[in-house]
Amino acid sequence: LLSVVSFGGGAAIVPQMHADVVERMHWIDSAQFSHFVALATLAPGPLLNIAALIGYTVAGIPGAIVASAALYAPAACIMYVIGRLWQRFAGHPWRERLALGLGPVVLGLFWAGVVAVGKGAIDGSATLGIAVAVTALALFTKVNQALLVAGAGAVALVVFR
Amino acid sequence: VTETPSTRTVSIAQIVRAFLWIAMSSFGSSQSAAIQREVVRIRQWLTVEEITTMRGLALIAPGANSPNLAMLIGQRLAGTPGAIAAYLSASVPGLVITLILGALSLDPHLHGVSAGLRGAAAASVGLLCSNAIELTGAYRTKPLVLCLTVATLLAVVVLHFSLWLTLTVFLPLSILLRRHP
Repeated sequence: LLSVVSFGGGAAIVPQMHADVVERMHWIDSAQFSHFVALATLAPGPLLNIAALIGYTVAGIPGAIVASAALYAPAACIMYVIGRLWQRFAGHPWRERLALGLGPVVLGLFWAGVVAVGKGAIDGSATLGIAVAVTALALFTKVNQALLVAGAGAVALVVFR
Repeated sequence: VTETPSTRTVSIAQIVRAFLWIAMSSFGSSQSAAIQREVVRIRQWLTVEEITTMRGLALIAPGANSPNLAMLIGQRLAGTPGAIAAYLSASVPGLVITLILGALSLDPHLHGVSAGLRGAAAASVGLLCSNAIELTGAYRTKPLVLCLTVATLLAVVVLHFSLWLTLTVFLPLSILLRRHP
């Protein structure tokens, strides 16, 4: 199970995980894998959490803990070091320059994210309406985001009945 | 980067509370959006400029973006204990809920579940969109920056640039352009 460590990080992790767990290690079959992806999408938190489900299937609760730790810990350590370095160099001109330069690129990526998620999630006037309403509420009010998401889910339950 | 006045008044308990709620109620890529709204708009712990840089760093580093972002924020607000507290509260609830759902072997194709999920997904788009609008607002007086943003957007959406290709092409360009702000 330790080979879970070799997964590494990043958003393109799902196909890699499928290749490793289903095709190479035969821990679970393809149908189970799709089921897990759907479940991890449904549950809050990053898609990365399918690793916990796979670990659980293979080796119960300890498996789930090992798989999650193996997937989260290395990334957490790297992030921690980057964060420390970033603070250590506070005020350095290259840090300011990198921060300034990062802004427009990150913003472009965000808009691309809106487009990408929107393509999958908006499929008619009802979902478009929910998205516009949440945008406005999120921008102009301080309503708790959990309420926004739950409210949107409730509206969808009524609309798509 | 301007320091916010509230820097030293944020406690670990406040950090945990802020991130726990977000972690239990946000899905996929909208989790970072929810974090931004919480710490910038609602709690005003950080400025828009600070969060933009942090989100950039979280994006570049390996691993899931939102716990990475939470760690940077926790570190900035309350040092190492803050970083650990923020990281755990941003990642553990989602893991636990995923496992419970898995153990119940809930069928994600159930009608009620999928209808509710469609609504939640639409809400994610709304959260992401409000974030992007807020960040764009911070650059509204800088046409060059906005051009670069549009170019990045088009490269990703139309030309399907990967994250790394996008950063390799546009980050140096952006740093050059913004050398004389």
